[in-house]
Amino acid sequence: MKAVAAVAAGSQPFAAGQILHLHWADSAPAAAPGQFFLVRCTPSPDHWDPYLRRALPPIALLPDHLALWIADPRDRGLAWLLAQPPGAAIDLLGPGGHGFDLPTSPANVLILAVGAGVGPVWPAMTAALAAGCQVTLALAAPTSDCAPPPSLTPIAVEYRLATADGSAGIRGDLFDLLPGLEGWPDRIYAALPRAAWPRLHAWIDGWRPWMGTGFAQVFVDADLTCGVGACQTCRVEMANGRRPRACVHGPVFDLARLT
Amino acid sequence: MDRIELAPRHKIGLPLRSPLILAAGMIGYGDARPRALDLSACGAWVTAPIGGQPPASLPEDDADAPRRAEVPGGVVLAPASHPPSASRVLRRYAPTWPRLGLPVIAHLAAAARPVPEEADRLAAIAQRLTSAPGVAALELALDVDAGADAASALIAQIHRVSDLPLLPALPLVPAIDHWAIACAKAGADALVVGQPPLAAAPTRLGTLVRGQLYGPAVAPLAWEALTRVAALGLDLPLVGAGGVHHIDDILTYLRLGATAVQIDTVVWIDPECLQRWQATAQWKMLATSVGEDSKTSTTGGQR
Repeated sequence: MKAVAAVAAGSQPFAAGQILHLHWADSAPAAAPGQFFLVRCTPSPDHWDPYLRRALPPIALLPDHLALWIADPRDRGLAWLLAQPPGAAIDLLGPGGHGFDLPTSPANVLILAVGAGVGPVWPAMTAALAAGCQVTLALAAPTSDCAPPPSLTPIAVEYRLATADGSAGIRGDLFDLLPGLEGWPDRIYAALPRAAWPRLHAWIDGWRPWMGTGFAQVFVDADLTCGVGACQTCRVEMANGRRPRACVHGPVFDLARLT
Repeated sequence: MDRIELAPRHKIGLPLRSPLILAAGMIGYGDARPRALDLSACGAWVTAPIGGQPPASLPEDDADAPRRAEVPGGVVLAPASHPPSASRVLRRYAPTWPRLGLPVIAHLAAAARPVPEEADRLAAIAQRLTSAPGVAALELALDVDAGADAASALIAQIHRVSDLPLLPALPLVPAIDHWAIACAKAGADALVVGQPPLAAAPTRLGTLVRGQLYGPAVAPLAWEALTRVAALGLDLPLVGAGGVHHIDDILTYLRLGATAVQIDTVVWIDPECLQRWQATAQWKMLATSVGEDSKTSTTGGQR
């Protein structure tokens, strides 16, 4: 991760969160969907409150423009960040971590997200489309306000939505969206709570004889503090008992290792 | 900047090119260095804990529990569970240490267990590290629950098996002078004042994180402790540690009697800080004052 200079370029609401738009002050660093940037949320280097940098995944990556996903705008550091006027200098470190391994040739790609997970997987979706893939997005959200409207999803994407209150899409959870998709995907990119990982694994096991590695990848929402593997706050427990650091070996992990 | 001798009574010594030391774990085992961090400003670095369990004064590790809780101007960090063994550290990480170009101070964490057992455990780790190339000294974090008398026994046992300079890191407690005296009598080569204080804070979701406090607010605690230890006149170099977030903090430590100063979580939040500090007039003052000290005295003390 390196220090990167950027300037604020406004924000927009998206689902239940916000997108922070930034322009690069110098050249854009190469970044992949699923990686993260650590953003300082203080007016100067000599301010120390809020103390920690905030780890934000990119939702769009362009040569002159970075859009960062802010899932919880109520956080006081992120609220300060969102309040920065266009042109304000923003202090970033990144990109960090290991992102999604994206297909390099056309494939059937299933994107799965629950709630705020829509942010980290969104650039994987757009990258898959750009690679000529057929893409299905299955999203579960508490209410319609927490999900992007169909008008904001690329027209080529099959968008399946479930809301807990039935205010949009079908009433239900993520797994209520999956019937009929068995056997279809060549790749799965997901951002789900930990409790859903075994269910996803079981669903895949039901139709794929051997999942193997590389088939299903999950963005894990871990506490990223130092971003370089020193602080140990981001360790994620794997199925074999190992606990790699999400900032170095993730935040995207293979589902076959997680469950 | 003139060289600083951090272990003047030791036959090998611990010469540093700078009074700044990266505190325990700030770059892991040398594998976790922020790219923007300029090591040329540093005199040494301390590894993350090597061997055994975290101190009993801190809670058992729960794999799913959050390990950090931000507080105004700081953070509480829970300790890592089951630090790797000395063999694993030397096998996996030590080959990369020469690339960092700095003396390595290996960090051992004492646990509040029966003294003979704990002394043997630490001595075995120390012995293993002593024969490893690149390890210039040992830092021993003392467990506050074990007591100052136990610290003496641990230091003595480590000295029996290792001829490396030994730097006990004192807990920031009211009776720190007892700890300092005990460690000095037991043969410490320098004293680190002190360990990050124990603290607890809730996460945003209400889970309590218990661990150690880092942030600017720690500095006044450490300065008070350093003032008390320096006043004892122990004729040992003192290493100030805790809360450094500005070059003026370093100068305060030096004015209060520290020979060297550890920097911790500031390098995660602001990895370019060392480059910025080197460009300041205060850095020039620091270089000058260190140069004067290295010529006139080998220990800290009130100026």
